Amino acid sequence: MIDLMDLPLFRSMPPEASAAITSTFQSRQLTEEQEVFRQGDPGDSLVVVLDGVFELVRRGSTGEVHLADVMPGDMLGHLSLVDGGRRSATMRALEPGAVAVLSRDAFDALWEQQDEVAVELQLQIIRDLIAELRSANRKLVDLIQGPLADAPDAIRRLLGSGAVVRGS
Amino acid sequence: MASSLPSILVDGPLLRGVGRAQRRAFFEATELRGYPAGDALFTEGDPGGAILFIARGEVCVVQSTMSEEPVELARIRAGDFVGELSLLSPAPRSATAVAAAPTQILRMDRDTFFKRLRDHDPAAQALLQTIAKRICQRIRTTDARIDLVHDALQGASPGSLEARLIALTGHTDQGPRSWRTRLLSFFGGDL
Repeated sequence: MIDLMDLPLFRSMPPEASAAITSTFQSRQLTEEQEVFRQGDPGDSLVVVLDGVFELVRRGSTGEVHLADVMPGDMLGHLSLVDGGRRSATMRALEPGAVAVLSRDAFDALWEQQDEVAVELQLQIIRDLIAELRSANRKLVDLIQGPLADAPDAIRRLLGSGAVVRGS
Repeated sequence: MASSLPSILVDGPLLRGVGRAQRRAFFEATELRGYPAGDALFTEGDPGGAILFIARGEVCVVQSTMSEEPVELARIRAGDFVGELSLLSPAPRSATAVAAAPTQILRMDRDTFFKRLRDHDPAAQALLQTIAKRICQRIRTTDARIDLVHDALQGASPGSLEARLIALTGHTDQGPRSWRTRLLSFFGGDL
């Protein structure tokens, strides 16, 4: 079981600041197979894995695809937290575990609050989002250059348009 | 920064909810640069570290490919910005930005932006939120395109793929017929 205060994000903050933020997280225990959140649900929280192994899956029209294993210390749900959109994947416990949850309300209160801690948390979340975007872009480019290499240029261009710099 | 600030940026939607004086003060802290059509604002591989607001003109973002001529990724029009990722998360420029017309930009470097952010400038805060929401949108669009390709490769029906591809890319300007023809020739041929 890890302590939230040990995450690199919080270790880099002054202790009072990280204590203030981590106290706004709520912890939640999960049994094997239990879902933390489900694809399509309204996104209302940031989730940090404290204990146990989880998986992230996405269902498409041809079935469920395993996206990643999620381990203690991993943080998920940035996207829904920032834009309030729906969950793009389902997070499920592969064994009994525990997570810490920062609700969107608590996060919004941080956005409003203009102190240094809030700024650092925002920046960290945005950096994680940028890393996620860069990785998604790489995946898309790999698909376009690999399995779609023989597709007509128009299709490949449209799929790739804005992939690296700007979504339309 | 020059005496007159471009209204398309100061009064535009980028700094939503911020007072006019603060919006002006934010853009006063930028540096004005001009580029004739065809000149590069930045080149793939350059160290990043600044956001460029387009005050006038138009910018075409292209990426070189191994075998083909450069692919156009996006057109950024006056009132919008480019280069925001490397402002926040240091990495070399992932593409080249070229002036598609005589273009003026307002440039803000990383140090200036972070200083304003940490000094609680509401305009910098607002821009950060605008950028965060844009990034989320782009992740969702990209994930949806990846799903679409996966589905196409696994043999989902061409009709639904066509509708989703049009919805995702928003490129309906080429007319439904040419779209249908192109898409079916690709996905249909593959099924």
